[in-house]
Amino acid sequence: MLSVTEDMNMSKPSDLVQGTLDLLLLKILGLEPLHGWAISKRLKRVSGDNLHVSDGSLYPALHKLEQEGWITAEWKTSEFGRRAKFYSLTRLGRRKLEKETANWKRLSSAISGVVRLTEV
Amino acid sequence: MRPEHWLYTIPLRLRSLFRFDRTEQELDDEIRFHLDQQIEENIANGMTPKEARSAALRSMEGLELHKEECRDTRRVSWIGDALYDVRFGARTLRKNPGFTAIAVLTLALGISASTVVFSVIYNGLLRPFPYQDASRLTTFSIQDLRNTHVSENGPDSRGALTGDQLIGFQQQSNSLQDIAGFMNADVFCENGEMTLHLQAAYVTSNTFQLLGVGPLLGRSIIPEDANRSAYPVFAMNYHLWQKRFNSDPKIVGTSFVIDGLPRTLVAIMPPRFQIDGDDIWIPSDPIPGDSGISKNAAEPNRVWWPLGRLRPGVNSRAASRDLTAIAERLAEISPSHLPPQFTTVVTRPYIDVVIGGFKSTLYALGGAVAMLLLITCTNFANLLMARGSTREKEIAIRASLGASRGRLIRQFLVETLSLATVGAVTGCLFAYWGIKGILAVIPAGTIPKEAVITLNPSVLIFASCVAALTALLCGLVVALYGLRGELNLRLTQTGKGAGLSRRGGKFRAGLVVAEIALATTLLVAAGLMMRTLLALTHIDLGFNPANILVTELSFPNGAFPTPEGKKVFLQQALQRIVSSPGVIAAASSISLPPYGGPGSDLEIPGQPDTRPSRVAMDLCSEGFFQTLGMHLLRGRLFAEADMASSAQRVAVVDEVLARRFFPASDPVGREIKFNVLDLIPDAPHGTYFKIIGVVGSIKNYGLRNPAIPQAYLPYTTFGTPGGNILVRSAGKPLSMAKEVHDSIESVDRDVSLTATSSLETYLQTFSYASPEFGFVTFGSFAGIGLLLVNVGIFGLMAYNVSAQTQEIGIRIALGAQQVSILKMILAAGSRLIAAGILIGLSASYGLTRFLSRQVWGVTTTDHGTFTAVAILAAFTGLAACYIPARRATRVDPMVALRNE
Repeated sequence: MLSVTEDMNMSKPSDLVQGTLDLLLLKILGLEPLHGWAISKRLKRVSGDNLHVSDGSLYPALHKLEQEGWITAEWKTSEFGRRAKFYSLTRLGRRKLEKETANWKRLSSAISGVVRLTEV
Repeated sequence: MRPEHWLYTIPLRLRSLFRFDRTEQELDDEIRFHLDQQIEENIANGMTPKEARSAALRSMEGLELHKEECRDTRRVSWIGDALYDVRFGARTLRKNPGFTAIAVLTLALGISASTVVFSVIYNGLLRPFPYQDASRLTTFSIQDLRNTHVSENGPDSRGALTGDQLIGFQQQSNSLQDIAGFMNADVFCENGEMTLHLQAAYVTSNTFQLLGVGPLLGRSIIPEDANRSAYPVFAMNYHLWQKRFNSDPKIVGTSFVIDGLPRTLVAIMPPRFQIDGDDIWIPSDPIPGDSGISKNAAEPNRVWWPLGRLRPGVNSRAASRDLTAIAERLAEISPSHLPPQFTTVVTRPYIDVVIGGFKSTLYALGGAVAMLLLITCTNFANLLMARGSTREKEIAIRASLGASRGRLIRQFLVETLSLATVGAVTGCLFAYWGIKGILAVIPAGTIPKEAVITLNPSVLIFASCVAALTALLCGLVVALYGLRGELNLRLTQTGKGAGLSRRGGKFRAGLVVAEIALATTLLVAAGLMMRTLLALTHIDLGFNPANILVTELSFPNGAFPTPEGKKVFLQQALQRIVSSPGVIAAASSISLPPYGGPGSDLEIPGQPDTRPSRVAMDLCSEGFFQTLGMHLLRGRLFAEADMASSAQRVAVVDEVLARRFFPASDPVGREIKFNVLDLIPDAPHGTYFKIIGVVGSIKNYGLRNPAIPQAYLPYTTFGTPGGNILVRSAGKPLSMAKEVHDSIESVDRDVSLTATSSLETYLQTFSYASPEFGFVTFGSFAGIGLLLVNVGIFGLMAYNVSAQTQEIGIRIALGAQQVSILKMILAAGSRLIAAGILIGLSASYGLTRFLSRQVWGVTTTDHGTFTAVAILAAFTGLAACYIPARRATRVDPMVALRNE
């Protein structure tokens, strides 16, 4: 389920519903283990300019997922030859991703249903 | 799901906690990697290195904030924060040593005093006994409720039972599960190496089972041990074993000769087994048909003191009814042992019998110490509030620099909690010393011997928690108060306490008023205790107790089979004592002031008085009146010839008896009969005594009660198992102790002396010790309370003055005199003090009646005491205001105004 309570202390992109960023990150990491920089790039590329996720707020979100046990981190040599922190999905994270994806689909279909209704 | 979750999270938490630096380093590395990539990309996109760098940093706007957010996700950052807060708190506290010391001392005093007092109450009153289910142990006595003359010892009672009566109660009682009996005896005990004079108790064979305590060494005493045919055995008190036998375990199983009969020691009882306070316990059951009355003067009567155990679910009233019915049946069987007026059996819990009136003293003390704890907490709160209001600006600055509300509140809580912790630890130390101090002043014989008074951990924890709670509340109030409203406004204001609203000041003033009220109440209690002690020590005893030595004689069993033999002994002994240098007079008696001996009903020929006519009856030698220095009012005193058992029966009476029974006529030459003598086998039965003289009365019914009618008979009237020697000396009475001892030993080596002391010490031990304890404890609590209150008043006034500096400066600049400034500050202080004293006095008016059992010779609402307390509190309170007020008059208007 998506939480819509805003935590005042967390600087979240205002146009991104809380929890949606989590879903995006889990989805991206579900494809392959990546480091923060690569995640940031992929996020921008996939979503185009529609989602503004500042680089700054990316890391607190990643750390939160790590502390929840959904992703795990490992220091490995990156494609640039420098050591970087690679995140990958845990078993728990995969389950979480499935649940969140299902939730998202339900919610978005419900919302688009309502939106279409009003358009008619 | 949970366990798998922990599998990932616990290592992470531990890592962030214990490898903090490493985690920090990784966070830095991760961010730097990102930045470096961004910079490289920017350069690749054609920016200069400098532009690339600043653009990268811009994309990570609020970098430090984000890092902090990352740290917060670790969920353990609060621990690091708390550590930081503790360090910060400690630094702040070190920078204000005066404030810290006062706050810590305040708390420590409150915690320690309450812990000590409640430990004494818990160990001495609530859980003193090591016996099984001690709350159900009960004693009972047959009482003469007809006699309404209630003394501090209750109405007249027959606590001791004959063997037959004890057996009767044992067999017929339904309400008591079991009844044991104790028969006290002075015995001589020897084992070939030494002879000891011991206080023994013959105890019924069920005693040890009833108490449910096994031996420390050896075997339990079982009912079969009391059989006549069984091998005679006994059990020993731990303290005797430790003191006289050096805790030698080998003496168990050895044989002693006790009062001429060989007995084997089979058990050493544990240290806390102190029932009846005896040295040894000898199993022995009462013999059916034994009247209990001794055949000759040398042996004491065989009477048993009962101790029973209530059946579960039976209350003491039901037990009283049950036992009264038995007593009525027993009275029918042998009316001579239970005179008709003794009809009602009254049960008392064993603890009440042991601790007696001291119980109410302890409860009153508990109330007092609770007040002291309240004062300390209030004072602590006051101190914190005072400091908090000077730190409002600090709070505002920190809040505007980005500290969150929660973080600020936490910081204050940690700071006050560390203060409370130091206070609690210091309090533990104080309590450790305090418990030793209070044990030294607790009057002897008030706390059961079984009780072991130690610090009670749960009380200590409770008191510390109260302190911690106060600290938490105050910290919270201070922080919330500092955070209320528009912070920026406060930053623009100036002055140390600027921004203090009138409400905060009023709250603190309220705290001070409450403190003054509490301290006033304590002072009133202490004042009443002091008046009681003064009244008791200045009682007119009717004689001069100075320079009198008293000692108790113990005669070995069978030493003087006839009154005549004892008379010869006493005559010789007294003669030798009187002839020693420094002795003015010496005498013997069976009781010592302030008690006048056993009671008896009085019969006067031609005066058929049906009123209860109880008199105290002492047996004394001819020198008694001279020794105590009593005044002869009419007739003559005893002469040596009156002591001969063949002489005419004569008596000396006191003026109270004369007034009561011979209001209109001269008692000298009249005859009176003491009915109690008819019950004593070797006393003259049906005999009338001729009154030969009337003396002034002395205290004979306890110090606190008026004298009751008193008669003195020659000590040869009948045999008693012991007696006292009183010696009036020219110099210090104790210097005569050795000579008295030698004189008695030279007459008869087997007579021993116990409890030798001066009469003043004797009175001190038995009559003044309790009021003195009350005075010392209440006095010290009231003193501490007053001190704390003055700290509180001083703190508040000093703070008010510093907050008003500007106002005072303006006043002075406008030409106000120093006196008027002084008056202004003192007036503000005295309003608080007056309010506090008024509330305190009204509270005392209602509360001091709980002290009615401790207070004597003064009413609990004594105006003198109340006035004195009001003056004392007002004076010290104003003194505490004076220093800040003086400081106010010295305010330099230029400095005060420029400060703004």
